[in-house]
Amino acid sequence: MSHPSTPDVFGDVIDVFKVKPARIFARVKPQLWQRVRELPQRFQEQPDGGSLHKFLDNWTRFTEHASFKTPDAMGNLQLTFASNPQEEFAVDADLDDHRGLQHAFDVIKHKFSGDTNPYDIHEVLVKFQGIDPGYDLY
Amino acid sequence: MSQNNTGTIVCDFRNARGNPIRGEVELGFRNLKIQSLNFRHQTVLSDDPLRLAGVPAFPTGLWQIDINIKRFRFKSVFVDLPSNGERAIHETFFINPSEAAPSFPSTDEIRTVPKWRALATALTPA
Repeated sequence: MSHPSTPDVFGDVIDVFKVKPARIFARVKPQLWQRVRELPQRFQEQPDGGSLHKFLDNWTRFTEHASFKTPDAMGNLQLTFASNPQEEFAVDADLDDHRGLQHAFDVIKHKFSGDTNPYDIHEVLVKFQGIDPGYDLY
Repeated sequence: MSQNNTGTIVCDFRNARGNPIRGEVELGFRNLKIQSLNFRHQTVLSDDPLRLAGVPAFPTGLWQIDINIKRFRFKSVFVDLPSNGERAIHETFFINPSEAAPSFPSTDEIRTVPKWRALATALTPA
């Protein structure tokens, strides 16, 4: 899965240590943080530093230049960085589809609650960003 | 002669990939002026857009249409149908997650297919 506007950054992922429905937590190479900062049009720094993004264990969210979000209207990606006492880096990669869902459903009665369903994320990425998530839904 | 002016509603329903949806659909038509005109229509979608002729139109052509397609999320839309004219509904539907059947790559594919190499590496404990 990739986006044509960004370089292939998955090689900067060392390992994935937590998976949630619409986000992953991964240990990454420090250069990923630098690469993200060098693409300010694609990854816009968030003034709140990603304060809603909590890391557990011994990871501490950066105090500066911590969180970046893509400007996509639908299915945007937010990357929030943290480090640990061993000076390793981690990222919380969170896909936000709420605006995409509002647009795609265009419903009157639909009520959406709870955590984002990964299959909705799949559909938002396919429909609005032309990204192939690598699996199909039937 | 019909008691009402009529028009045609064209339903062009597609999935997230932009392909026409096939399968069972139930359309609930709620007229916003005269409830007695309400009706339901069940059919099977094919590759061609569904055309519904003879639908009451202006001045009683304002409809709320509930669209229930098997395996897809529900939608409801408004249509203002002109007399002797037609209105098209172009809508994209997402798979209903509770009825989705995903087809994931196998473990062997993730290990061997080049496009998955980075993921396989990240998922392998150091």
